[in-house]
Amino acid sequence: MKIYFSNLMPVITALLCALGVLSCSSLAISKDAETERPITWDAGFIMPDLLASAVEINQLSDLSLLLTIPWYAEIAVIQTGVGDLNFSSCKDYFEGSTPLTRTKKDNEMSAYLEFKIMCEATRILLAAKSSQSTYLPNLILSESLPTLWPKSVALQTSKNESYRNAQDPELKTWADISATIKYDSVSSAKSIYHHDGGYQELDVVGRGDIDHDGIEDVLIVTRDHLEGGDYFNIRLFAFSVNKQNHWHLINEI
Amino acid sequence: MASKDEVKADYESVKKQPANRLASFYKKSTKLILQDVAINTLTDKHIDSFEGELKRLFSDFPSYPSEVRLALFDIIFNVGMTDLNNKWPNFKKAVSAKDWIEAAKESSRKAPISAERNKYVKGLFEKAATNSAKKTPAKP
Repeated sequence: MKIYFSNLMPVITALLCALGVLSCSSLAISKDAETERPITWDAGFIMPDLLASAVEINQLSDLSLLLTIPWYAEIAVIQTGVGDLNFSSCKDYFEGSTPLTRTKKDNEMSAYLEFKIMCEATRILLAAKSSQSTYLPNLILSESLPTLWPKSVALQTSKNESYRNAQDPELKTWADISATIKYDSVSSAKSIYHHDGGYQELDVVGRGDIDHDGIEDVLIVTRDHLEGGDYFNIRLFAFSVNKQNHWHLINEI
Repeated sequence: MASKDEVKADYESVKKQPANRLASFYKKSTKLILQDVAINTLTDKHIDSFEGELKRLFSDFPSYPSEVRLALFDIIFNVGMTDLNNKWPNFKKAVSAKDWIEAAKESSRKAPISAERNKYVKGLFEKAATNSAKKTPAKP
């Protein structure tokens, strides 16, 4: 998986600043603006791992290959637009799925969600643009994130309680719904947030200007687990952050 | 009958693989087959464990109508005891009060739980409410 060298730009700029080649004020400017930042994908983008054959992704346009190459296995689904189908690629998924589509066998739903979310992530990255500026921190996933991100990120299983929480103006952040009792930083692109009764694995999928406003956004996947229960969900979020460090949700799948 | 080392080897081999793949994906990583009798023993053990947890959450659980017990088994199997205890306050209140109509309204789980499964559980509570109303004699 290739990470564009522009990710190294802040480091290079900082070195030049330290060496006196650049003024330190130019360092401050470069963080916010000026340099065009290409779309990048990170370790959380596992679409190539779900395919039957290995594919080398060297540039953004290569991502479109991922939509047509067959998955490692086909999967029988129901509640499509045209009845029962077998999906064996993202192309099949995009052509045949509806929001209600699920697997014929209940125990294959988790595998289907992996396909679904990675196909959606691929399509979002392909539609993204290079950004003109960014306020994203270099390290997206931090222990304090639940106090910054909206409550919709929280793992909730009860439909009615979730609705009530959404309507409650007192509840604003992810932490307001599920306080983190333990935080594990697995890597720069993966963290696990434990709460009472379950945990959420968060992975950074990629970065780019997803909503085409010129500002860099981030694509995150969360895998929701419960302790002592078989409930499992995978959700995809696109977030942006402004100069004041206020995060906002662009999209959720 | 497999040895402990053989079981451990299969377990370690599967554990190294990525999660959430189709069963066929893991077949290459295993050598052993779990017999039906062992699967049933494990299932029974899980059911016993869930029953114990439900009795801890609802002290009257053994006296609940069979439909309600079935519905609660379905929910606890899915969300676990801690989530049910902490994140379902209105549902818990309704079940403790034996208000099966309210419990039916509060019983739905979010995606990816299917509408059919939610409908099945809701229907069990509604059936219990109907049966309970039939048993309660009308006031003169």
